[in-house]
Amino acid sequence: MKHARDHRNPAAILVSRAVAPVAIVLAILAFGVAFAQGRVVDDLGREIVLDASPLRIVTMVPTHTETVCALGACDRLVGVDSFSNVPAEVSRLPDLGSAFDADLEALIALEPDLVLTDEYSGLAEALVPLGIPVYAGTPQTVAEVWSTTEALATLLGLESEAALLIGRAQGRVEALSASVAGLPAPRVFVELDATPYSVGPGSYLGELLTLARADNIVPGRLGDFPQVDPELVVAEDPQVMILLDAPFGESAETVAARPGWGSLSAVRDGAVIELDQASVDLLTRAGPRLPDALELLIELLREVRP
Amino acid sequence: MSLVVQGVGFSYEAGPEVIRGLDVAFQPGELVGLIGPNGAGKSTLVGLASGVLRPRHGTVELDGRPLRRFGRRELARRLGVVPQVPELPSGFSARSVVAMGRAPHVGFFASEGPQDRAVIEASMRRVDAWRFRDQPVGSLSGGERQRVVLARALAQQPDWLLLDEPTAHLDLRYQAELMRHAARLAGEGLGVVAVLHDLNQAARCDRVLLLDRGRIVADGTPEEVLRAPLLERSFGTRVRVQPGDRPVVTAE
Amino acid sequence: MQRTAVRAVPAPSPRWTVRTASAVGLAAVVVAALAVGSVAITPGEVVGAIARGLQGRLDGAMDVIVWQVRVPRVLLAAATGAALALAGTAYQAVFRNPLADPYLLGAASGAGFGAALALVHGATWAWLGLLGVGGAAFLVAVTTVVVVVLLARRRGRLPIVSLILAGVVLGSSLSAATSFVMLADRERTAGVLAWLLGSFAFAGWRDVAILAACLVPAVPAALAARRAFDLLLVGETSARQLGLPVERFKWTVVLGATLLTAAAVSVAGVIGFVGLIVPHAVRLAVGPEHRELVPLSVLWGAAFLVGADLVARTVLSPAELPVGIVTALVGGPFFLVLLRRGREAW
Repeated sequence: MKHARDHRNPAAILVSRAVAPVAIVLAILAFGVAFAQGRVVDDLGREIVLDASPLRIVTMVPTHTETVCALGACDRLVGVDSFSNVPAEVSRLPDLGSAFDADLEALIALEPDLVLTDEYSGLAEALVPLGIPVYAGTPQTVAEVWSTTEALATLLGLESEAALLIGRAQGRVEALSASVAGLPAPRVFVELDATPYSVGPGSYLGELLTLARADNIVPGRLGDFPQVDPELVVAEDPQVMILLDAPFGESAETVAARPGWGSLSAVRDGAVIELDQASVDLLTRAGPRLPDALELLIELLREVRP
Repeated sequence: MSLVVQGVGFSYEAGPEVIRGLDVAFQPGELVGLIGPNGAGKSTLVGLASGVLRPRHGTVELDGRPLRRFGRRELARRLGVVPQVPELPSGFSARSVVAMGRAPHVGFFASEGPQDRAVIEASMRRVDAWRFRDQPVGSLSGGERQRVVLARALAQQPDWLLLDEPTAHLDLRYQAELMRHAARLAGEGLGVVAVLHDLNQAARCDRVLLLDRGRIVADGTPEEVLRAPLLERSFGTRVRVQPGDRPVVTAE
Repeated sequence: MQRTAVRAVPAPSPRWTVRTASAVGLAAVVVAALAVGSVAITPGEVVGAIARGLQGRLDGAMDVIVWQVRVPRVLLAAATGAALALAGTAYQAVFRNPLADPYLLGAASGAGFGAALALVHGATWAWLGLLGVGGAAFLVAVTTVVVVVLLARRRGRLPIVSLILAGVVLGSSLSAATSFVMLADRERTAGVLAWLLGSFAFAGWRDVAILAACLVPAVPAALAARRAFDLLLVGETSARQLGLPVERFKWTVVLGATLLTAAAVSVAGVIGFVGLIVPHAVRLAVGPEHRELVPLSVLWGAAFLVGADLVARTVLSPAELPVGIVTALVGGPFFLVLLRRGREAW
């Protein structure tokens, strides 16, 4: 959503600062504007125009599945990608593979009137010539979670549901942030894989860390998903390590065994957090469960906060 | 018709001159034996005379026209070469290899006509290669392969035939046979120039050229060239020559 | 030189038997690939959908599946297989090297780099966005090979060894550059990787048209040049003495095969193995003469890739295997069997 609806971000930020009831009112007003515009542009820069409210929707990325269901339109889904597992009821739907190797034939056979997918896989380029309406884009930041929710809601004709959803979510985010205000910020290292890849402060997870009042040891200049020098980790000496690669076998022991990492504060203090797959999904899917993700982070940090 | 080498000098890349100020004229109907010690420049002279090497100095002229002014195909219709170590794709049938000799006539993009097929068959029968026409060349003996390559050169229907040590890998019987073929072709009016390792094969030629360090040091009939003092100076070893119509040379 | 009477060629020669069998085999694989898919469609419906597609009036989702998804996918696989096998045949003849394949001179690494650039920076660099992934892949692939050829050139000639060395070295550098571009943007890595592995998953009519436009002149040209290809096999010096302008021919073939390879890669990604083993398989079956090698490589290459793609999309349905994995897994053992039983090829 980098190019699409950035003009709405100031409003979204303003809303997040207000108390919950006011936020809802403001959000509804903001949607009045969206309604009047009635335009949805995806991350490929294409405007999506639908003849009617879509009733047979296919989602090819988990975050869109979650968003559609959070808007109360789960029953409009007719097919999902292999990774969509929240809410649980979507696992009953036909599995169409991943966006990168989607089963086009099965997808078309479902006769969807809207396909929600990502901007990278090329699936959109394959479907558009077939006359199937496609929205291609995924949120990469907190602000884009809200704007993508609005965009999907506009397509589904569920603007007021979106306003309520966003208002409630932003209210919770506000309250959660307030609960940690003034607390000391622990130095945190988030590991995506053992290479090690991490997240910069500009990424979605980086933003959540900031909201959870953690001090990400990865500086912004390295980009959103940098491969970091192990020396940097040793030099910054994180007090907490969050292993998103724990489902792939990394653990407090494997981290401690890395050269020079055994004496890190997080390792010595037993503050290496091994996440299960469900928690990893929660933290990495930028979507309607954003407040839950923030709450999980704050909860994890509470136990180890110095 | 003539093939004339005039004041030709040649060196490979930045190396020393391997052919220096060389003058020689070849006539049709003549079987010329080219002899000389290793490194004398025999194969280089074949390369120059066939146009695959360009002289640094001087010219090689075919019928008064420099070789470099000929197109590749035009030259290949006039001049056939049997290389020292022919490279043959082993899965090709003998006939297919000979058919390559028709390329300069047919072109590279057209098909053989009945005329071409007739020439291929005739060329192969000529050197007694027709009976193994369908065998892959990889399964043929050295002598048979040599005859296939000779037939390929004949299929070019050239006026000139350049043979670079054609008898090198052949046993006695095939050496003699090949020289008989060469003599017969010269008798039919072709100009045949053969680099020969075996001086006694040179004795069968109409004319012998002795090459040494890039120069022609003797040019004449076998009796004139195959003489002990000349050969000893060039080859650097003592030889005994049994004189006669066909001199017999042996190293001491 | 005495004239010999020309004998009449006896009726159906073995080479036409092999050619006909190969064409029938290709047709059979294509029919199978059109009939089978993750959505069950009866043969009658498939035929009907194709008929309606030809008339440009599709009716319903089944027609869209057959005409817009399955048919272009099968045709693109066939065209890619034909193009890669033909390019491989040409490269192997020019380089007289059994390990030569269409990617030898860096076309694949170049295409990969172009695609990675377009996938990662397409949104920010306007000209890249304009080219698209395929266009960028094609452009960089051709540029790479041209640079390799210019680097390898020595006094107007193209020595084979320096050509191969320049190709391998520049190819490695570009692969490294591709990895670097991918590291710069981790999110898009999956997209680049998927592209590099090659796939017909999202094949469209436009891709088919692009590749067909390259094959239409290339196949007749290669068939016509069969005699010149044969001549290269006796060595460059002998080829010259037999009248072939070797250098000019080499330039032309390298350029033509590169354009063909780049076009194939730009629409289908980097699919390995086809360009290497199909010409070898044909050679083992019918011998090395290009009169047979060129047409049969085209037919077998097409059939092989259509078959491989059929396996790729049915074995783990609804998930798909990258077709390059299938070509290696299925093609490798098949080739080894031929190698054990076949006749000498080179």
